[in-house]
Amino acid sequence: MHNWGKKMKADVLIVGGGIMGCATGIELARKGRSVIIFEKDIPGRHASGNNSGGVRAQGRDLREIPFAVESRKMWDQHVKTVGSDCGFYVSPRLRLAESDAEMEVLVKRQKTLNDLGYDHEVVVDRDEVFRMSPHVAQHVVGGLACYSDGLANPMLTSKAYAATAEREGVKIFSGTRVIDARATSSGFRVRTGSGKDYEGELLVNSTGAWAGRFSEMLGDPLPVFATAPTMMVTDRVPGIMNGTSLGLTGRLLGLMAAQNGSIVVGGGYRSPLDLEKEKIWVDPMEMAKAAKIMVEIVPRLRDAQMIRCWTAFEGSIKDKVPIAGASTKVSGLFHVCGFSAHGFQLAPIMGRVMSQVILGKQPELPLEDFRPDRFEKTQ
Amino acid sequence: MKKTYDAIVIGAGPSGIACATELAGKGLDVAVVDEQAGPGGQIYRNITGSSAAQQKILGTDYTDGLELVNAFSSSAVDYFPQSRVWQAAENGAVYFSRNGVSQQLRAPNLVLCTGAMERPVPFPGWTLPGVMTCGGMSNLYKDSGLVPSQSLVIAGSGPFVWLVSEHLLALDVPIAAILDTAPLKQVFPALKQVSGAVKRLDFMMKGVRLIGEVYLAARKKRVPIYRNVTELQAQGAEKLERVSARAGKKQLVFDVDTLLVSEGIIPNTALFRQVGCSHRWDPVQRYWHPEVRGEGQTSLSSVYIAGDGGFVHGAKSAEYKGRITALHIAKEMRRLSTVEYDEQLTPVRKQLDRELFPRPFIDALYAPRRDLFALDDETVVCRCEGVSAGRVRELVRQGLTDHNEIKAIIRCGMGPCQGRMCSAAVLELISEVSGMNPANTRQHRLRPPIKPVSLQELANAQLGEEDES
Amino acid sequence: MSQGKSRFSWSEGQAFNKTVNVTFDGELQSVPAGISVAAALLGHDDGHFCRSAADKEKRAPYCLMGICFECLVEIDGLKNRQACLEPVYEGMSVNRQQAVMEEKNEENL
Repeated sequence: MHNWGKKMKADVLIVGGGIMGCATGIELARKGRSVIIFEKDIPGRHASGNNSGGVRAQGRDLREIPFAVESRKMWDQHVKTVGSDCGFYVSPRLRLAESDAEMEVLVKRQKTLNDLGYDHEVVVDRDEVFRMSPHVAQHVVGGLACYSDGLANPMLTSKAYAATAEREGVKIFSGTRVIDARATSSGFRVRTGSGKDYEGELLVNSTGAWAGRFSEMLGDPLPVFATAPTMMVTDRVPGIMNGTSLGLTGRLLGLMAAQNGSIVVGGGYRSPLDLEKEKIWVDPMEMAKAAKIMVEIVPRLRDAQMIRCWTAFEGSIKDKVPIAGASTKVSGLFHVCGFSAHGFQLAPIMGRVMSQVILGKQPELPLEDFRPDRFEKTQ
Repeated sequence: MKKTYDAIVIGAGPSGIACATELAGKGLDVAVVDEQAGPGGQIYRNITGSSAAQQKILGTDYTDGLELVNAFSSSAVDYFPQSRVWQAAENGAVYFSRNGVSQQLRAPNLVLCTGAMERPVPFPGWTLPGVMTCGGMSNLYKDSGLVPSQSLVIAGSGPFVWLVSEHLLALDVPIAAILDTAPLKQVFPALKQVSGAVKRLDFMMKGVRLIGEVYLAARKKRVPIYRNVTELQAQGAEKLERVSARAGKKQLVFDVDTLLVSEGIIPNTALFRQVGCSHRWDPVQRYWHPEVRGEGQTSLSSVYIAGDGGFVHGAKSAEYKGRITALHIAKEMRRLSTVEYDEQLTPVRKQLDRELFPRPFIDALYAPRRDLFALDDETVVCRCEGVSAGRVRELVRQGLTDHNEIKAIIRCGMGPCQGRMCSAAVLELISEVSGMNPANTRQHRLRPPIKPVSLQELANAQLGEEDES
Repeated sequence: MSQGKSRFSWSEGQAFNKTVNVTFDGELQSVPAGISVAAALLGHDDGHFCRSAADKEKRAPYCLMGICFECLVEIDGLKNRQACLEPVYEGMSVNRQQAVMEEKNEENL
């Protein structure tokens, strides 16, 4: 335990108190380091607490698969590691093929994964599709299933991670915006909105949608842009999804089967936003588009009602994998950001891997594909 | 029917129809979108269909609306009844559902007149079939002429209790008791505001007369009225069978299957929160209300608010506010010169001011009592999702004081009513356990659709900019 | 199904010029034209309207103005309609959502 008294120093300063920041903080604290997390709102306020809750290994970019597979195992340990099951339950994820051509895509995908040594995505035939999801449209020809995927409560998870970080001795300053951050001779200094300065040897950028701006401040600008994926939810329609979550192959839709019988609709719909004013406007055209596809895929949903939608600021990168690892420009600076739509499930493993890299060790899984400088022309 | 108007008014209560009629009279293209079958809102509900007998019972407070509604009906307004608005945008788009079809209208001016609602106050058993609000009973009677034929109890505080008691007594409805939950000493702090009240002695006397008449009629019909009532409970296996309460030291029990409750009226802010208007906390009446300026302007430049939705000031005030907003918009749209505007505004402004004189006194007199939300842990707060007060307190004790986050974890406010029934209570519980002033909490955010829309309807919706028909 | 008695009655002096025929849970009834489905049901019998989604408890109208969502019924095959906002019309078929629906076990109403 650290006496924070007048001390405004820590081994590691983490900016951004979402699950990536907290997961990293937990791992560092457990390895004996002093950590301060600066969170401009409260942990879970943005992407971490307001995503679709999908704990998904399926459909990952090949570069993320090793991380997702390992992370999935860590989700089963949450009661031990963060004192809460985070509301997790298994909901097999079934990616539907609506044509023979799409079926070929799925078959190819399984082969690619098998060749790499992974077997978590399995081609299933029409009979199995209808066993898993009895009410999908008749035109579906087959699918690709991931039986171990699931769903969890993002807000509960974010709070569990933050609470655990604090229990492990991490100091979280909520409502605390970092207005200046710079490298010093002994590490880094950050200044908060109230004018206080804090010093640390190492600095972690886990600022989510704000990662582009924050990284600029430090002289290592990252191509992270803000986006607002929007989820919708239906009223309870028991007996329709059979606990199976659905995705498509040729077009964008995710239907997640919540345990209480309601259906969370996601799949990449994004709302216009203003990051400066922290405003997001939900576009009903997008809701209408999603509804159209939903009714085509599960016709019985036509009488279900959309009762609510939600959205949040997330950080995204154009090649759809995150930036994670050491900065190539500023020594002692580390980034873990750009996870929009694919971060929630990865949080446990990213925390561990980041802590390894931050402490100068070889990460258990290589972070080469997530290098911050991968977009530069000279490599 | 067009797609684009000069102004769209949402809500056909007194403020909405007064506003729309005034705007149409100035030659503007106006649409009124309302979810009920006919104009009048709650206060003048079904006024054009009401019988002579109903009008006699309900009196001039009701029949005063006839002129207003008739003027509306004969105006050039495009009226969309039975239309459920599920989203409005600050750029002037309004999305609504009508006859199973969702459509979009646009206007450079939106006037949100969604009115007020009964303050939802949880108590043990309040979800049992048979428990209704006084306003709900009034709506039922106005809509259909139905009255309770079996014994009932009326409980609560505030004008609605006396109004509905008066009507039901006149209708010879068997009333087992009237339970007045207003604290006996509440009148003293209100006296600070008495100077305003004194300017409208007629209004004050009307209120005193109402209560006096209820007492007289109750005595004649041997209906007991209890004061200083606490510990109200609705009991029963699957529906209301019994009401229990305390009056001072006396324990009361009534075998009834209908309980009418009322604890004041608050703005219905759902649409305002969805559009994104800024709000302010009123510490006397203890509710969030939108920030609305003199002519109905909000924090969003194309959005106006008129009527009780902005602050609860009653039906006549609502009507005048609607007209003032209309005059302002007409002036902004250059249908009125500044001279004409000033001329026409002055008398309406005077009328509104007159209505507003006694309001601070009324607001203080009928301020929610301090223990109104001192709920037992087992009392259900979120009716839709079955979340108890104890569960909310548990989360706040864990350090969560943000309404939206508490909702995301225990689901209060995630049902179809989207927090309309539970927001007030959840906020008070957050304040109680954390000690935070509600004014400093982050408001419960509402995303569209603010009313459920079927997926088939959304799928079919022609919501694009171009008229595709 | 009709339980015979309602705790409401039509008040004196309530002249109904027109009635319409509607079906409540399969039972044909004549009700005053233009009133809300909620009023028609409350005047018909004391049955509850629907079940709460979370606790499956029986629910009936509370606010009668479209904000409590406790008066949900199925009208002409469309579920979860707010009965207090829908006026009756000739030939309307109303089913109360009284059964309990489970995720794995769908019951017919």
